[in-house]
Amino acid sequence: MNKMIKGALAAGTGVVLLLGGAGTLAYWNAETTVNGGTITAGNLTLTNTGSPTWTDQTGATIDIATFRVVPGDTLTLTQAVTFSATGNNLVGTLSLAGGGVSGDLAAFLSAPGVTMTVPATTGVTCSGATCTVTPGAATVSQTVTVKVAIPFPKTSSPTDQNGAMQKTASLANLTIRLEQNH
Amino acid sequence: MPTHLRRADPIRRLLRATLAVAGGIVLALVTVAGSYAYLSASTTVPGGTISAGSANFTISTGSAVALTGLYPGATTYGSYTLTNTGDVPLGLSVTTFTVTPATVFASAVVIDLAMHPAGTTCASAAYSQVSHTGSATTGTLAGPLPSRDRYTPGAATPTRTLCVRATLPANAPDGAKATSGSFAVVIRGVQS
Repeated sequence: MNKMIKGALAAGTGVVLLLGGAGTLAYWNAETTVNGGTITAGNLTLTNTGSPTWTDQTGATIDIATFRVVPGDTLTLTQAVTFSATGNNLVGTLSLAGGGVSGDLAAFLSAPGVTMTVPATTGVTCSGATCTVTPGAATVSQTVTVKVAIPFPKTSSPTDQNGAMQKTASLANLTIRLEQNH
Repeated sequence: MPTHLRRADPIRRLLRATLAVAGGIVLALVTVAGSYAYLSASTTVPGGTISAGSANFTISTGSAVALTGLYPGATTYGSYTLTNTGDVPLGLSVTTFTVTPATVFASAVVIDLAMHPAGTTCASAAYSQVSHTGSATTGTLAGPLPSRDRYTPGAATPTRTLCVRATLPANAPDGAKATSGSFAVVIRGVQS
């Protein structure tokens, strides 16, 4: 056979072979399994514990709907609130807002004293009116006491408070909030 | 299509694609930067309505004192009911005491007031509280006039008996005879 033709045939065959090889390739590969896991989110809860109570300056429980306040009285609203916080890296702030007094009687009352008392608790640091909650690896849970004290003072003149007779005042709702810092 | 336009066409397509991608990146960055999720919880403590009470009392006549027919050495009695209709105990004091008309009789008659428990018989009660004669009034009413129990809704309103004794002294001047008069008393109650 002519050498050129042989060469051409060989080249052509090689090309054909190469073209056939382009459809089947082999690569090295290996694989392994990385086990997954369960991811659990943290949590913040805040609930009222029991019903709110009203007392006067003697500590006697009163029915705010029927009790008639007079100069010299201090009425106090008390509510227990339970919170819990979970989260390894969680930093939260516990705060209290609200408790303002309005209405015709308000002008004769002293400014209400609003307090939130938190017992000493690991993971809770309080300063002023707010507390910082850092549960770390454990869940922090505690019951705090919210109080609003409203004084109705006597004055030196016996007639100063006469204008308060049979008037009313409204104590606004209070909001306790536990919020992740951001 | 002219050659210079055919060459520019792919460039425009590439430019448009680039701008679209960049716009998408900007949009994604703006959207993601504005939205955060944080844990929070809250609860509400309900407030309430505070109602003020009052200070008030009333006087009603049981048996009125009549400053008539008095002669030297004679005494007449009367009783009145004091009722505390407010929410605070009241210390009572006489602020005004007048006997009219202004006659010898008015100057001579002695009128005493005393507050006693409800139902007291005034003819046999003690009179060591308030005394008026002439233009002078001395002493204070024993008190306070108690108020109802604020801790018990519907509690009864307390009352007291105000006893009045009028006496024309045995040494009353002659000009006091055959005359009469009336008296008026203003009693003030102050939260005690």
